[in-house]
Order: sequence, then structure tokens, then C-alpha cells
Amino acid sequence: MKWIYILILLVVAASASGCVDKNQAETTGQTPAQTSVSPGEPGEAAVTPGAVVTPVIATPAAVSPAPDDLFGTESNLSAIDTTFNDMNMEISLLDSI
Amino acid sequence: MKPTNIFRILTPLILALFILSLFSGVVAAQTTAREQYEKTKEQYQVQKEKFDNTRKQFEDAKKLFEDANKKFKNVRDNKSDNRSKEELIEKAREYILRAINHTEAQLQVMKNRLDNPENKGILASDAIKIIDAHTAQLEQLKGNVSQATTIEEIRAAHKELAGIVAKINLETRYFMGMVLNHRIENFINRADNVSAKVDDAIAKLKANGTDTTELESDAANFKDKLNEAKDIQAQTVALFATHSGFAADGTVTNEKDARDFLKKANELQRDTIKKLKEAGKQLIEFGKEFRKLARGKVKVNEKDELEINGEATTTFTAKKGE
Repeated sequence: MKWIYILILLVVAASASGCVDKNQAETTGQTPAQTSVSPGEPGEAAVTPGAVVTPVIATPAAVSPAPDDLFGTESNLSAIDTTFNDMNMEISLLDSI
Repeated sequence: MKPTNIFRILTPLILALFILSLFSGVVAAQTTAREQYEKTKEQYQVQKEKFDNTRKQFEDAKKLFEDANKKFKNVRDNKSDNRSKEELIEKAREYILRAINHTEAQLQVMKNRLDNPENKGILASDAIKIIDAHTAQLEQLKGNVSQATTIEEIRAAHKELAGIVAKINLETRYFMGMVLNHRIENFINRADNVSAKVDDAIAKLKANGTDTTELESDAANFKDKLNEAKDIQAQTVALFATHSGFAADGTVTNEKDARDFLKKANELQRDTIKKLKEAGKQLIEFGKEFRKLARGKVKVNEKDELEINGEATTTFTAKKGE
């Protein structure tokens, strides 16, 4: 009887401290390779391996990765592309006024 | 209930809670990382939207000024017209103020990128300080433009802005180039790890009597492309080490040299990305073939190991035709 009581209390305590069902909610819909993305910007998944668990970022490739893209390569390459595009931000003023 | 019974129940309970509390740090760390990620994402979105909005406003103001300028020139060819001149000054003022806003928005996007935890420490210099100094410079110029009363003052402000913008454009490309290098290197490091895991998976399949010819060919092509990308990336890193036209802190010292340097760097980085994409395609081909041969639920775990039906290829026992 006391063990059932302890078990119930443990589950309540675990739920309260976030140990139960937390990762499941956070990683739903992710492939393991995609769980290693690190903070980046919208429209891209960063490529840092072994980084903290963060959600897949909403790129078409990340939301529904190609089934054969086992390592999440496309979303990582898309992140590189986004950075490359940001690199070419330029403001073009008139030569003179 | 007797006090002894209460103690018998409470002792393991307190012990269990103590053990659980040891994990609360991990949970808290995950929450913090997630919050930090959400915050970074949100901030980038805000800055990027602002950048896009200011670009539109800038382009609109630029066009209005050009129209007013044409109109003024036509009037001036006939007779002097004070109203057109005043209109021209106002349109020019608006155009410069919009240009300043747009430049500030570009600086904020760059600042956000560099503030991203992923990119912390990749620059030797304090780029944020340089960005803040430019922002202060632009704010001061904004004040001058707002108070300008003659077309000469407006022209002088535009000239000053053109000088600042030219530097900011170059520095943006330099700093973002460094961020891109960091990102490419992370990708390559992970690809190296994947390469080793791919070899493990092939060896295991082969040991089980599976024909891995196609897999080996895909893996070899993947490695070739990856090596080509690595060679180009090494050239890029060497080029960035010279930072021709830029001081060690990333500020422009010679505009022409800086442009030449960035042009070369841009070409190299474009080529690296092209090779990485080709390597990526080969990896996807490998995935297709592996899935076909494995005849089970295939996925990749946190260590980048291929798993069949939840079993890592380092231990799995799938047989050909299973």
C-alpha cells in the first residue's frame, strides 16, 4: 500500500519538476538528427552538432524532411544558404543628389 | 498511523524527491536553452521584418526624390521655382532619413546574428561595439538632416551617409562571412562524424552478407565531394586570415582591397556550398539505398548512428532478405 502511495507521489513530483513527458512534447515530429539543431533564425536549422535540444525550425524541408534525408542534411544546407543570403545585404544609395 | 510507520514512508519519499531534485537542474537547463532559442528566433524575426519594411520605405522615398529632382530640373530649365526647390529639399530629407533607418535596420540584423549564442566567440574583435558606434554615428547624422535648411546641407549629409554606408556594407559582408565560415565548419565536422557512421553501417551490412556495392559507391562519392568542400573551405579560412582591406577588428582600412578580398571570399564560399550540396545529395542517395537494403524502420540517433528498428548499426543483426 505504502509503495503505491510513494509511486503516486513520485509521479506527481516528477510531473511537477518536468521530468515526465517533457522531452516527448518538445521533440514530437523530429528526427534524431534534427534534434541537435541549435538556436538559429527562422526559416533555418543550425548545424551545430551536439547542441541543446531545440525544436525543428519551420522550413519546408524541416517540417517534412525527405524520408531518405536521414541526417537532416537539407535543412542544414538551407541554414547555410540563409546565412549566405544575409551576407549579401547591401544598401544602394544614389551616387549623388 | 504510528510515528514509526510515518518515518518508514517518509524516508524513501524524501530520498526519492532528493534524487529527482538532482535532475531538476537538467530540466531547468533545457527550459532555459529553449527559452533562449525562442527569444533569439523572435528577435531575429523582428529585426528581419524591420529590415524588409525599411527597405520598402527607403525605395519608395528614393523614387519620390528622383521624381522631384526631375521635376525641379525641368522647372529650373524654364524659370526658378521656390516651391519646387522646397519640395526637392523635403523629398531629399525624407530619402536620406529613410536610408538611415534602413542602414540601422541592417546593422541590427547583423548584431542579432553576432549575438546568437551559436556565434559567440567566433570573432576576435568586439564587433558589437563597432556596430553600436555606427548606429550612434547614424543617429547624429539623422539629427543633422532633420535640421538642414539648404540643399547644400542636405547634399553634405548624403555624402557623409554614402561614406558610412559603404563601410557598413563591407563590414556586414566581412562579419557575416565569418559567421558563414563558422556554420560551414560545423557542417563539415558533423559530416565527418556522419562519414564514420556510414562506414560502420556498411561494414555491418557487408558482414551480414548484404551486397553493399551501391552503398559504397554513394558513400565514396559523398566523401569525395566533402573533401573537395574541405579543400575550398581551407582556402577560405586562409584568405580570411589575411583579411586584406580590413583591420584585425573587422573595420575597413582600404575599400578597394576590402572589395577584392570579399569578392574572392564570396566566390570560394559559394563553391564550398555548391560542393556541400553535392555531398548532401550523395548522402540522400545513400539513405535511399540503405533504407532499401535494411528492410526495416531506419532512423538516425543523436550520435548520427544509423538504426534499424531501433537498433544501432554498431550492434544490429539484420540479415539480407530478412
